Amino acid sequence: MIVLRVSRGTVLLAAGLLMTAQLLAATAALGETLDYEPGRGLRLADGALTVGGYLSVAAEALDESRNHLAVEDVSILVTYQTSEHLSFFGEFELEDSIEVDSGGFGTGDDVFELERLYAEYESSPRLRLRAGQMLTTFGIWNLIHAEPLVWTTSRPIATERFFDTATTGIQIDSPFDLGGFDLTATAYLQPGDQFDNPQGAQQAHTAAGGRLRLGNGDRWHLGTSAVRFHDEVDKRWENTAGIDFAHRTRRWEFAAEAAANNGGSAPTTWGAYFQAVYHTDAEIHPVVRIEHVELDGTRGTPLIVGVAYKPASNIVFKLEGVIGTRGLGVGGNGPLASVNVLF
Amino acid sequence: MVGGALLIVPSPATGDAAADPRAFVVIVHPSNPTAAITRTELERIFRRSRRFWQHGGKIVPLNLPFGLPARIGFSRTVLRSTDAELVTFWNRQYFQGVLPPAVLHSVEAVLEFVAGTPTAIAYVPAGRENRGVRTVRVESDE
Repeated sequence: MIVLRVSRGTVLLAAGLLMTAQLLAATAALGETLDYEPGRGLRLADGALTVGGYLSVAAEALDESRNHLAVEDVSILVTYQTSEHLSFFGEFELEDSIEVDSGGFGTGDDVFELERLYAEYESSPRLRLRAGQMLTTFGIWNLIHAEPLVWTTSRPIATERFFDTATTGIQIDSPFDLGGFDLTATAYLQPGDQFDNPQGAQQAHTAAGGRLRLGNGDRWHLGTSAVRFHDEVDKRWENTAGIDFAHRTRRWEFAAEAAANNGGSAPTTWGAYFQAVYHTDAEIHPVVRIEHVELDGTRGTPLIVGVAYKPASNIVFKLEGVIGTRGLGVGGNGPLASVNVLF
Repeated sequence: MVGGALLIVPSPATGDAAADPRAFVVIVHPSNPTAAITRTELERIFRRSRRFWQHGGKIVPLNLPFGLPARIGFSRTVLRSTDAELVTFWNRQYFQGVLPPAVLHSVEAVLEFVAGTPTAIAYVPAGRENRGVRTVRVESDE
């Protein structure tokens, strides 16, 4: 039986989008110029306020889970620059809002999450201070995990199993020039619970961590990250450390990350991936990724082979095949596809 | 004041640099004390990783429209990137709440904005600078 699930959040969101469309139409009718660029959002208040977001629709036919077609993410991104030094950023996300699958009847998940909400104070070229809920500054993928920004629908296991992907607290970033290269030192502290904690593999109650990143523009970088946190799921203190690397040329883009987690007397778990993407002038981007993970006595070496197509700068279609994931809790082997729009 | 500018061309010059439509000069407001800047610092400013002047004030970088030869030259020599690479870069920055430099619709609009904004920095085709702005020498990284 095919089931269509529509959550209350979807109805609210649809109503909001309709109202926004009416507002924009009314503005256009008055002859006002809208400062909107696809993939860069709508700029209001002389550019101080930007409202944008992204949408992701994904389909999967994996052998350890039900066939599935869903609006995986609808995210709204809001940036507000209140003064020269102070800005606010928020991301509000509706997950799995519309879902079609081959299982029994159920209600929509109706998960409307506060993904990020923080204030950023930039006092000088050498110091940025953030306070609020933010993505945990660990590795590469966690900071750019939105579907329109990555080349595969699936996410490397090593980028989300060994640390809480969100942090609520304060963070200091300090960029330096190191012989012409960019060195950024980051330190963060989470003194308590999250504002709004998604049900991830790890849920940190208290955390402290940091990251060092050395690079040259976006051409290459080397990074190392570490975090110590009290995991609310396993009720113990855990330590996770990782290294990452990225390099791009005109045609190739390489990325690799490795992370290891040790929780008290529990055995160390770890994972890593290496991904290569080839860029063609036709905006067709073949991608291959190999991973290896060792999780609580289970190990696997997933291989992902796929292709991404970008018909416009803010739209990407992806198709990939996944093997080697059985028993790793990610749905199994099979094809995945998605269409992603940054707006 | 106009003068002292380093004409930048994206490939080895084979004749008059100013005749290359991709050649550009970097301009700031006349009150800006910056006389010279390295390519690396200029890249940091236009990638928005450096956001404040040493002498104070938030930097306002400006871009020319897509497709103009001077913009292509600037992207290749200063940012060392193609338009496609920059799209990927800015998509990821947008997700962090960082927006690319504003794009003004013409060289005249850029000159007028910089002439009226003490913290602005931009580039225009070589030879198009005027008395309302001041040129900045761009030094190589070596």
